Amino acid sequence: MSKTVKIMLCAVMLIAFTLMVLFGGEYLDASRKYKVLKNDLADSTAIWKHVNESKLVVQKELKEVRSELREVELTISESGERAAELEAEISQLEKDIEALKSANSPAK
Amino acid sequence: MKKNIPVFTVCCVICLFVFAAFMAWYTVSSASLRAKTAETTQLLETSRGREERQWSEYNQAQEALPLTQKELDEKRPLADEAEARVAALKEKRNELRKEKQALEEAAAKGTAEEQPDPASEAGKEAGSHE
Repeated sequence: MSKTVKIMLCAVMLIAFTLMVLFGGEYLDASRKYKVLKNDLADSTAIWKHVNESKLVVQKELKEVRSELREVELTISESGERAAELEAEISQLEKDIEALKSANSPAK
Repeated sequence: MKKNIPVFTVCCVICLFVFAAFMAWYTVSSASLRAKTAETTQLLETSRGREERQWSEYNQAQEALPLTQKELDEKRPLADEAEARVAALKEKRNELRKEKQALEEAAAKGTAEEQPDPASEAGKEAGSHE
């Protein structure tokens, strides 16, 4: 084998080695980035799950308070209606009583 | 006769095989890693979006809770007051009903006293004829 061929082969092997180092480095870098991404994903998943749990607790509490508020509002509304009915009934009763009193007084 | 081993050629061949093997591994692994990275990136974006939405909903509920509680605290005495008013009105109505009933009974009694007794009327008539 001639010296020129040997030098060329050496150059080819050097280029191959360089490429291996470059690609290997790139792969390692990509692999590291992938690991970071995976960790971020795990953190983000854990965070949204935790926030979701807290949100559900707060929403449940809010739902209870809203339900209680609706009941209170309903009580106010119903009591208002009932009070109006009772006032009308009382007014009628007072009129009836007045009429009865006036009817009874001449008889006495 | 002993033949010389071409050390340089063997080294070259080994090096090229190693390079070829590395390139084959690198191509497959790199493509797989790229696909996994793309998938994870997409999942991360989705997860971040979900995280943001969950935070937003949590904050919304967290802000609404004290306001609703305050509204409830404000309205509860009104409900108690309205219930108490209804109870008082009921009591007053019952008293008035009793009063009305008593007056009606008194009126009925008075009417019965005013009406003449048929037996005594007959006796009076007989006395006048005699």
